[in-house]
Amino acid sequence: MMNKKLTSIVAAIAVVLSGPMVRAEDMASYSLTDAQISQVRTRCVEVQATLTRIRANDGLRRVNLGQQYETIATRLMAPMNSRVALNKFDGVELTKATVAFNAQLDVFRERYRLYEQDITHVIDMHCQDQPVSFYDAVLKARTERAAVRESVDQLNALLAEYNVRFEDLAKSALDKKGSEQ
Amino acid sequence: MTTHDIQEDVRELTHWESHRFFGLVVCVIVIAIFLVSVALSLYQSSGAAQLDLSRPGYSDVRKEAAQGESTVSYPANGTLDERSLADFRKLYGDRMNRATATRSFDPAAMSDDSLQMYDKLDSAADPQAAATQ
Repeated sequence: MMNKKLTSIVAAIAVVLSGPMVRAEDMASYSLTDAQISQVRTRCVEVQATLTRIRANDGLRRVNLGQQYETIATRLMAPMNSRVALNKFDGVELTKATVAFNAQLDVFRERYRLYEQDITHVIDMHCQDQPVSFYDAVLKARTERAAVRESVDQLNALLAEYNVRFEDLAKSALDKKGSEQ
Repeated sequence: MTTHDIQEDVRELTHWESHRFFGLVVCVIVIAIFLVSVALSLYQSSGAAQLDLSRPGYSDVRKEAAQGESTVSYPANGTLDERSLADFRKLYGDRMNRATATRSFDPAAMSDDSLQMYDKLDSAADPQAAATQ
């Protein structure tokens, strides 16, 4: 008796918690009209072809951007931070920017992995049999792609921040050299 | 050892012993399937799959992948004088500009309009607008 009550309370809480999320995610497809669903069914194969091209281009961007970011982090930032420390300058801000950049690089990799899984799922779907699920899956992939874009923006902002910190340090290093001479 | 003795030995072989070559082949196949499964799951979960442009569907863009980009480096030892700072400024500036030059993952590429999923009759019928409201 007690167990039944407990189960029903847990179930009620789960329904209350999951309800808004499910509604928010599916809201777009719920508001598709019958005519639009029919159009999605008719055009989805072409959409999948377009998405295949987008995925290929995104894969290329991921590889090229990843190389650029990796090179900057491991071959420029890390050696510069070491050199700053060896020369006994205050490199805390540079190190902080590097740590933030590396953390965001991990986020970028993970977000891209999720996006790639989602878009591959969309491309492999039997879309003509399930146009609404197809549309929902496209929305999900679009959201994941926007998250990747956000990550790229943040990485670019961190690159700019590191540059600013470097210029501050360069100024103080040159000032110090000048005052010593 | 006579022929009779040999025949006796053969009779005494257990079922497993008489099929051990077949058993060996099955074991090898099972182990190979297990190891390939582990390798593929690592390939997927590590993110290596996302960097692999040799997969089907990526043949068009494979040649455009940047080659030999990682040769640049800045020495970790040395003084911090005007010249070394200028060297770093140039290397870093080049790389930063290259990384930030192109607008990657533009959201417009995957919009309903770009994909032409359906005809928009009016804004009220736009599911995206309805979802955001």
